[in-house]
Amino acid sequence: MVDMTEIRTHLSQFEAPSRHLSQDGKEAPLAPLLPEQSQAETRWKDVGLPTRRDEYWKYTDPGVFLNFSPQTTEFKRENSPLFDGDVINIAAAAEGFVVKDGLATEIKIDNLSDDKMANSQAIRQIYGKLESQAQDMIPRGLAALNTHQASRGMVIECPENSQATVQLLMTDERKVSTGSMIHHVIDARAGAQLTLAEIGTQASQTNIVYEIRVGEGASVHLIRAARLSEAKSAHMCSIFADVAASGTFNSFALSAWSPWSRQEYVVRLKEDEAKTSLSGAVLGREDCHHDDMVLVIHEGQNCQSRQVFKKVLRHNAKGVFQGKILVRQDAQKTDGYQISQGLLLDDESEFCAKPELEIYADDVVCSHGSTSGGVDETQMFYLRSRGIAENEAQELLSMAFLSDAIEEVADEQVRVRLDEWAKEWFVEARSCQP
Amino acid sequence: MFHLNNSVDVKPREGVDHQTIETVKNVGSHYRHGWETEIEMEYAPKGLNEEIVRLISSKNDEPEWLTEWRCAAYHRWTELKEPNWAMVNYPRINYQDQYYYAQPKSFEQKPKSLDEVDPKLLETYEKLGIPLREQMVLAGVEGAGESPADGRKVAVDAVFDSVSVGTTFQEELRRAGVVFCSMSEAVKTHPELVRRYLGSVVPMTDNYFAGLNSAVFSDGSFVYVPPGVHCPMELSTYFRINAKDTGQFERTLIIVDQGAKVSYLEGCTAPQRDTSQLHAAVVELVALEDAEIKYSTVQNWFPGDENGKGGIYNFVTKRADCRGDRSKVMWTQVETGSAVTWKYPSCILRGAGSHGEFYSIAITNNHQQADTGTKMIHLGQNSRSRIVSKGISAGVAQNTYRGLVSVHPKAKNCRNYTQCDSLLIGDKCGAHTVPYIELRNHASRVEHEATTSKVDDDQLFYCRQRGLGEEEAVALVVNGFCREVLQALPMEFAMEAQQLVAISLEGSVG
Amino acid sequence: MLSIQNLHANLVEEDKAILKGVNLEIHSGEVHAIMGPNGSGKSTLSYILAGRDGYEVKAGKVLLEGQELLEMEPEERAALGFFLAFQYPVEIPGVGNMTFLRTALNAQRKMRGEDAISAADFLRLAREKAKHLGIGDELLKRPVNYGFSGGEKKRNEILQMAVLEPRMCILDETDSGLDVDAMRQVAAGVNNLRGKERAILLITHYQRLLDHIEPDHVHIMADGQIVESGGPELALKIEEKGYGFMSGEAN
Repeated sequence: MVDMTEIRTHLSQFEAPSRHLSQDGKEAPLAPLLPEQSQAETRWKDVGLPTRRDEYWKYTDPGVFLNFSPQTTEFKRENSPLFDGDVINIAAAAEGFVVKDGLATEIKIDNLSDDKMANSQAIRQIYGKLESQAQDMIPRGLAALNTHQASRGMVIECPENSQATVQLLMTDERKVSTGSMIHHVIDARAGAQLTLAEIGTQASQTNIVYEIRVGEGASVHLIRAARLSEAKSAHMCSIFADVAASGTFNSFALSAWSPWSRQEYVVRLKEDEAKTSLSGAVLGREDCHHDDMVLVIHEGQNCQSRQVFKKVLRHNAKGVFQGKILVRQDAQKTDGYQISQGLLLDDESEFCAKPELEIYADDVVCSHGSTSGGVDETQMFYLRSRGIAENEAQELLSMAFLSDAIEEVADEQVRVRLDEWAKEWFVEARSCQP
Repeated sequence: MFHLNNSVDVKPREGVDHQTIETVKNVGSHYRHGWETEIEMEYAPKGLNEEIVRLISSKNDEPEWLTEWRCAAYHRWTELKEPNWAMVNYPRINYQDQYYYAQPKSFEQKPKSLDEVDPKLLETYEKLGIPLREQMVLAGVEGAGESPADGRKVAVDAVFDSVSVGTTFQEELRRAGVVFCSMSEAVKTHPELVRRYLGSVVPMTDNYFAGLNSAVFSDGSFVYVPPGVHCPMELSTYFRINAKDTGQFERTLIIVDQGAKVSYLEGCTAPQRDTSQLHAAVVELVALEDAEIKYSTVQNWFPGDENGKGGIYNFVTKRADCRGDRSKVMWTQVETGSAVTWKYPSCILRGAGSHGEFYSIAITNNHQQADTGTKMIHLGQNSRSRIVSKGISAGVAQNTYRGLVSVHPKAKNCRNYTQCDSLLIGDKCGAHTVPYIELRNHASRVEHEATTSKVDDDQLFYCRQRGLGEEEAVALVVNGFCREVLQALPMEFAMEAQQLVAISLEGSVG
Repeated sequence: MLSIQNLHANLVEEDKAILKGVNLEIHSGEVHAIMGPNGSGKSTLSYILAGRDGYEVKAGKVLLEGQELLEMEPEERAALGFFLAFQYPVEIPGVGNMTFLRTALNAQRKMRGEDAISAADFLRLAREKAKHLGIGDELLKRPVNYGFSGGEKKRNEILQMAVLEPRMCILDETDSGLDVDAMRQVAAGVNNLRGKERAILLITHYQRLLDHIEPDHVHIMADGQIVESGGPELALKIEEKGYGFMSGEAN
């Protein structure tokens, strides 16, 4: 069972929610922000925090995250935007998320910590619900812990048929970086279209949860990019999405950044004709550990899912991919696809994968592939015979390798920028070559 | 050996011939080997404790080291836990409610001629399709093994419940220097080999079922092929569980010395019973430098009835140690029987340039559950492995491929290719793929591909339009789907396997 | 230009000699052709000259403009003006044809201490050269050789040669898999590049390429050696009598 004293130590590393501080600065007893939070407390104590013995933590040591000592050094902030033009820019500050500029818009963005939010429809119907329904298959203690303790986050409500692009820029100016628990709730009603980009990262240690409800015919595109190197950091992000009939949930993540990170995705295609594309491009070096764990659940008929995950690894980096396509008995006419690939640029790096299919319906077409290895020697020779130096050739082939994942992003302008950001990694990697 | 059927312009998947259709037509329905032989048996008391272990050892007249080895295994086993990670569900097994030793009474004394052999036993062999002369040898008739049979020779060892009942072609094998005998015999005639290699590939603590087997194994086959010898014939063992409430725990040990070669076939059947029976075997293969082992299995244990009653629990540990450089091991399995299958024939690719292959067909119908696959552990440089797995699921069955491909940091220039395909027949069954892939150096390459789909309606319709019945059509298409694996089987087994594919899918459509 | 002296080489994996003392002198402005039966070592020679891994040079040396070729990295050889048109051009999905060619050109210019060419200038250059070879914009935009037909791949090799302007060009079985029209286009492209400053070595199995690109010298290679050298008439003799007569003479 869970050792409570141990958990306290871990938790103390995350910042105490500021709203619970009494006037005289002494800590008031923790009172839950939302009623859903107290239920989550029972939940995470029940499932426990992850250990190395858990099947889905086989290749990733949760101890690195749980025992992480937050850094007190000033660290670089990433705030170059991904989108230009008509977008809503949001800045992350200690107290919450502030709309900086943008269009007058129909969509509503609030702070989770706002008192009036407790009764909002989005919170009542979504907060903690998607996370808790995902617990029955694979325990996700850290996500439940977040639901219980999060003090910050955005609540984005998109009315029917609305359209918006929101850009979340991590511009927190604080010099002392502590742990951060952030919980975002997104409610895209029927026909709404939302593109949400999260750029940079908030603290040296974060535990982020997204709960996203995609209504009928609605679409939500989530793009996350983190690309500056940090001496030490640990990031956990859990994304839960429920997709209604003909809805679309797409997610892309670029990680050229983090020494330790793990993304968990649970996407439920609940009704007919729902679609999802989940993709990630990873550039890892210097003891970086990067783990993607995906679960796509097909419940409706005629649904489509794609997973494209690519990892370039060097200098003792380790890439992990665990992805499952689960097709329920009623989910006929499912089209499921998954590819995971690791490109090792040296012998210190490693790639571990567990691509899974679990299928209970017969009229399906599902496939997965996983390949891993070094760069193709023949291609390398061809490039060099045309005068391209070895490291440049390696870069070209690595970028080509990543391009399948970046191609999953619909917007061409964004693709170009992501491509540039990925290339910067090589420039930086070259300058710190051992 | 496979031809497309041109006369009826059928265009199903490649690899199915006319004969298959004929065979499917001719084979009677239901489990073919479901008869029981009424033979007087001698049992050890039910249950498991050190005394039983010692009793089994003394029945086999074993040396002290082996008795102690078994006892050690028994004690370690009591500390092990039954694994629960596989995607299989079965009621808790009461290990104290089983017989761990049974042997036909007539084996107390050797018969002098066929007339003295228990006719029921002969009937059993006949039903298994074993030729008469071999039946005599198997029945233990003195002097029966001398004259060679006509045509293609297959040396047969049969294990009836717990006891090896005889091996054919002993003399011819002896001339080639090949040792092929029962394990109990090998303990007496080649104690140094047995002692050196037994448990060296699958240690007694490897897993729960291997631990149990190490304590109570009663017999099995032993093969030793000396350096440079290419075994002159296929070696074959038939395993049959006959007695009620009896677990079968055979142990096979095959050692192939430098530059030697052998092909080994294993067939399994059991009578139809409404209670489940346990089969926990261990197979250890050792391949030294440049050695080659081809190990083929057609597993047709009783799968239980349409309602999931009875059937064999098949919890088997099979592993090959490719110790020598350039050694090669090829596992081929056709798994159509058993109520529950838990089996992962694996290769430890220790030698530089060693080679492991795994070809598998697993068919589950009705309430059957199979969790099977392989492990390819690349430790040696330039080692290669190839995995081809075909899973077919029908009825309310669950079929899981589970595999591990692991390439260690020092195992440079390794290659693995894995192809796992699943076919679903009907909307109540499940097909699952759970591969683990671990690559730890950049000079190696690992490729995995998997697909899951249903039987192609267009193909079925095409066949039926040309006059095939629905089940025949399914059998035809499924045989095509499995072609790559069927081709890897030795000829003796290929035909049998094709028939089995058809039989095991009976009742799966319509 | 290129001087091959007593070149002996093996495959690394097998201890079997493939080149058994090749000698060849090629001067600026010349076009040479090496003909020979399959397995005679023609392609091995081209790979060794380009610096491919997997071969072991046992003896001999190769000078390009007086510099030791065999000690250089493949890209250094390219920067020095050595070019191999591959028998089987390599497909590189994900890398755009134009990106590839511009990267190569600029890498070579950089190694030679020249300025990088701008994207606009490069595009103009590439389009112009492509036009001569019947290569459309669509092909320029696709990934390197990926999904190209056999003829498209070979024309793409010649395009690279035209853009990179190497001094020593080796064309390895460039005629294989080409129909008559494609062969004409390729030959025209090669003939365009003939000049005082450049040498070309054609490796081929058949005479037919030599109908379109007339060589100054023809060499016959057999069993890892050049067994006979002569003028264009030698190629016609081979066409007429086959390679069999060579071995007859050797015996």
